[in-house]
Amino acid sequence: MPTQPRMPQRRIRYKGGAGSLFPSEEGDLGRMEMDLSAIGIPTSQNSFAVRVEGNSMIDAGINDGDILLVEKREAKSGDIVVAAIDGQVTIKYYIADGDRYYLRSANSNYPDRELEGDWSIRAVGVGLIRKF
Amino acid sequence: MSVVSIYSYARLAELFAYEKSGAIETEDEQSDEWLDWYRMTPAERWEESQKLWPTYLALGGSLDPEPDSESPFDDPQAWRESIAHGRPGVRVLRRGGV
Repeated sequence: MPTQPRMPQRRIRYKGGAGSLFPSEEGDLGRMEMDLSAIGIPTSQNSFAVRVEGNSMIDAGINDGDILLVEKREAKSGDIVVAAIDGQVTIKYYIADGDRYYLRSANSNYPDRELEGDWSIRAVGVGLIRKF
Repeated sequence: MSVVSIYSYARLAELFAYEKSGAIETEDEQSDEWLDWYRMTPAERWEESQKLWPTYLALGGSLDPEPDSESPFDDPQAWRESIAHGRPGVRVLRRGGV
């Protein structure tokens, strides 16, 4: 075999189990093909979309059933994020206040939730698609 | 054109759990491998990337252009090398009828 080049390989390694090559696999709700750059939404291999469940972000214009476009990247305070907390997924505002962190709804019926224990911010919202 | 996968909360929760368990290991672009690549000059990167061609050929790849049946110069009767002509890694498994 010829000499291998000293080139890095772009990869997502899957190490067994019944998982997937997230987010490059086909989502359980399908895939959509569109030119998002035309509307100012950059996409990358770290982009994916989530169908919104519930009305906790309704005052931010994010309704139940909307498709939120997100990107896997570091969040800053005030971003709309996809968070994983205690094995559950939710979409909220991410608030960093000193060394304390919160998830904040855009609905006055829901109080802030301080992030403690098992939590992580998985992606940041970059756009929204709605079916009328 | 971009292709974006759409997930439900439930599926995301599963995938995040897999990631957390280490079943999926995402690439670290700050790895030594990538930093070494970025430290090279463009000319060095070009030189390294050219080493892919012998690998491609060794694995049975071909530099012959695909025949263009719509070209006015196309001769469908002309002899062309095919997979039966012994490129490494490619074998004709069966000849004739089944």
